[in-house]
Amino acid sequence: VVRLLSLRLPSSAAPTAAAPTGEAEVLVRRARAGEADAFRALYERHGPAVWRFLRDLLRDEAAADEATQETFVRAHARLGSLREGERVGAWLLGIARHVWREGRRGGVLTAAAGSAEECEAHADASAALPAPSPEDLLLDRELEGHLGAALGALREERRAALLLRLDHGLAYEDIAGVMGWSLPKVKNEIHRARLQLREHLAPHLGRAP
Amino acid sequence: VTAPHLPAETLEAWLSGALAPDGAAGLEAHVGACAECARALGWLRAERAWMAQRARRTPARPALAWERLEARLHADAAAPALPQALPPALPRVAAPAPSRLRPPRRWAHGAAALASAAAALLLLAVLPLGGGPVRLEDGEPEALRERGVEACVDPAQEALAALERRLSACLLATPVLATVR
Repeated sequence: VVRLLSLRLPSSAAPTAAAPTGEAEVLVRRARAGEADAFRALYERHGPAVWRFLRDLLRDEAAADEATQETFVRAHARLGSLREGERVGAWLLGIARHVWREGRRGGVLTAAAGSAEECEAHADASAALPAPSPEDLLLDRELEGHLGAALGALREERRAALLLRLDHGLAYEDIAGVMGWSLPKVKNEIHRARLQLREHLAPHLGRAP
Repeated sequence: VTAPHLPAETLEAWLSGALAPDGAAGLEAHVGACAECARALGWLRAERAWMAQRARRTPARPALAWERLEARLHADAAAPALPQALPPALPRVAAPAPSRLRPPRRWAHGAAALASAAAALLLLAVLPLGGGPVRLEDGEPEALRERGVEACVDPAQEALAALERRLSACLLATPVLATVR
C-alpha cells in the first residue's frame, strides 16, 4: 500500500539548478553515505523542478509523476557517479532527460505537436517583434495557457534546451552537457526557440511599446 | 559606426545582476540608444518573469510523496536481482532499516564492515531457528565464513553488475515510461 502524502514544495520560485552551494554539496555527500534524510532533502528540493521539466516535455502530469520517481530511483543508484562540485540540479535534469528519451523511444509517449519546419519558417520573422509591456509581465491564467501552448509547439529537444535555460537557470555549458550538444548548437537552438516562442506569444500581449 | 548588438547572455547577466558596475553602466547606455537591444531585453525580462511565476505555481503532487519513493527504493534494494534465485521457503535477512537507505552497490564496499557486523547480529537471530541456507546481502559472506556457515550467494547480481560495467549500460533500470498510459 502506497501512502499518498503531499510532497513539501518550496513556497518561492523553483530552486535554480545553476549554482552549487556548500549546503548542496554536504547533502550530496551525506546522501552518498546512505543517509535517507539527506536524499530526501535532495528529493524535496529538486523534485518539483524535475517534475516540471518532465511535465513540460511529456505534456502529461501523471506520466511526469512516474518519470520523476524513475529519475530519482536512478539518481539514488548513481550518486557515486556525481562528480565533486558538479551541480546536482543539472545532474538530475540530465537523468530526467534520459528517462524522457527512453520513454519516447518506446513509442508510447507522444511527440510534440506542431511542425518543426513550420516553426523554423516563422522564427526568422519574429526578431523584430515589439517587446512586452510592463503589464504583460504578469502571467495571468490566459497568458499562462498561451505560454504553455507556445512551449508545446516547439520541437521537443529545442523545448528541453529552452526550459533548461529559462526555467531551470542552467548555464549554456551545463545545457550542453545535459543535451549532449556542442556549445554553439545550444546557443543556436535556444536562440531559435526564443524567437519561436515570441512569435507565438506576441499576438496575445498588450503590445504597449 | 554602429555598436554591435549585445548577446542574450550579456543581457541575461545584467538582468540577474551578475555584471560588474562598469559593465552594467555600459550596457544601460547601449540599451538606451539601441532599440533592438532594448526590445531583446524586454523579452528576456518578460520570459524570466513568466517562468518564475509559472514555477511558483508548480502544483503539489501526491504521487511525489517522499514515502512513495522511499518505499520503491527499499523495495529495489531488498529485491533479488533474479526472482528465481531465492526459493520462497528460505528465510530472509538483512532487511534495510527504515531510516537508512541502502547505499548503491558501487559504493557499498565502504560500508562492508558495518554490513558484516549487522549480518553477524542478524545471524544470531536466524541460526537457532532454522539452519537452512540464508539469503545474503552485500558484505555479508565474510562474516558468515568466519562463523563456518554455508552461504548461498546469488552470483547473478554480481555477474549482471560486471556486465553493466562492461557495456556502460544500466540493465537493471526499469523503463517505467514504456508502461505509462
